[in-house]
Amino acid sequence: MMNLEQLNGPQITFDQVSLKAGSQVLLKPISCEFSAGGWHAILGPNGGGKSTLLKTILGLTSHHGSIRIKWPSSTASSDKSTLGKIGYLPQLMPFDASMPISVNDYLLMSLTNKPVWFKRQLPKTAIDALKSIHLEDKLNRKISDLSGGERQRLMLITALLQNPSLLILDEPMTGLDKKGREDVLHLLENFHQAGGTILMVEHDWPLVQRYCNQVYWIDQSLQQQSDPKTFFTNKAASTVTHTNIALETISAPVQSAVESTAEYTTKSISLNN
Amino acid sequence: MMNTIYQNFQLWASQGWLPEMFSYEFLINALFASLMIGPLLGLLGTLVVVKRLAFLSEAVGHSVLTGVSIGILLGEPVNAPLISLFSFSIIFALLLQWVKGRSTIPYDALIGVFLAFALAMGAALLLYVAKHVNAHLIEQIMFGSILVSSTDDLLLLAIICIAVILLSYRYGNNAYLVAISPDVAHSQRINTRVHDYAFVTLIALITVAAVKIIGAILVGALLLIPATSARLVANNLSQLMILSVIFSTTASVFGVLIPMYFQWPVSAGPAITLFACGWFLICLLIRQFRSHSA
Repeated sequence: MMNLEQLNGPQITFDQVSLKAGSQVLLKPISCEFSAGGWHAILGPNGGGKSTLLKTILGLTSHHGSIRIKWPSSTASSDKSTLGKIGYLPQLMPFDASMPISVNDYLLMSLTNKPVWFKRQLPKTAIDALKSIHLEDKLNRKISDLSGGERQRLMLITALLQNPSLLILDEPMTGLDKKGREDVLHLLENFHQAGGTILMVEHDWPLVQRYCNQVYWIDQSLQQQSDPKTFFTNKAASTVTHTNIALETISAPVQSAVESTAEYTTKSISLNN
Repeated sequence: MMNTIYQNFQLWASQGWLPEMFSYEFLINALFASLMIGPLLGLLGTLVVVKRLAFLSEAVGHSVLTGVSIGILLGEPVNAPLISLFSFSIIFALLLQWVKGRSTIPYDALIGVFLAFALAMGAALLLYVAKHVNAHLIEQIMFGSILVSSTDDLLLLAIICIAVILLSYRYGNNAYLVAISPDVAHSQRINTRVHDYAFVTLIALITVAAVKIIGAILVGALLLIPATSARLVANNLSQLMILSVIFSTTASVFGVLIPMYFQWPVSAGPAITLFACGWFLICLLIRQFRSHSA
């Protein structure tokens, strides 16, 4: 397990940040703040610009407006090594099946500057990290031979081994089974408790409600920002309201289906309180 | 220094340890050239394969035709129109990369356009130039020849070799990371744009350096085939690189020596490429055998 010293995650400030691709607007101007050390969840419909938002923070797009990442200045030695380091987990993409790159290779090329074809020994921290996500026996397997969930865990652990104080995660739970999710959430919780900042795109609302400090609803613009409890209560209320209005006009079987959905929504919220 | 080497080879040849052909200076030159080209192309080839830029090397290779023709038209020496050659190929490669960054055309289509342009323009100019200069020029430039390497060529190759070795030692890991996952590399503060441009520039440099022996048409093949063969049987990056270098070096050396030894009238380019293809076939069979016995 990785021993996290005190991290001081950065605060990120958006000032009228917008993004266009040709004539198509991807993000309307957004101004907000992601507090230092917070676990921020970015929610929203598909195609609403969540991944784009993350990529903008990383400098992968040319945007209007300004993004300021305020790395805390401190004289503590642990801060010096984590200053300015970002760990990025992109969305899980299909991987070229014939690429002869092993797990060992990928870790080495991310962690050392000495060419992969000379130095084959991984540092102990890396091996311990692999053990924490139960991948230590897959060291010599090709990345393309790993399952989606295993690859996801590998990418996350590689990002964490960079010793970042900011984690940017794009749907980190994709492809993970129950054990995988537990492992990953355990790691993220440690990171969060050590003081790192997390920005996470997620679709799993109960998870967000349980772990995150702030929720941002992105649908081409920042439509809502609040703490999870407020956010989900509002969301549930608006869903029930809309459902009630529609009930007058639809048939019986559909009506009961919709009612039970509304019931389920309110129930799940109250269970998690 | 080369003179001592020539003399040594001549000595060994006259004593019967080596075939008689080794007493020719041009062969020794060609041998040393292939010993440098082989590893270089094998090494960079692995990156071409990981980045999936198979046709980039073809396109740059064909741009050499135009570069040579322009050089000769401008009055440079026929055997070494180096300035135009290097300038044109590097500009070509950089332009390709620049257009790629500015548009959404898929890379393979873009390279196709550039490749066709390079070949057409090169062929047109070359035919015109060759009529006025030397009938064998076309054949030499297109398919390579072991007759034309000079000691200056060897020096150039050696410099490029050293440069590539130093660069790959320091930036090799980053280069592979950029190739596998550019976004993650970017998040680790690696300058992906510099890497991309540097890579195409290196391809251009090595292509130009190798074109005398292998020829413009096939030089891209030697970047592609050994690495692709290695990819069939390698299980990790280390194996990929070692095998790729072995395949390309042996193909280069055999392609230079064997036609000469048996006195076959085959240009170096096709000979080297065929040996490389031989490796591909062997690797294919090994892989088939493995999957059947697994």
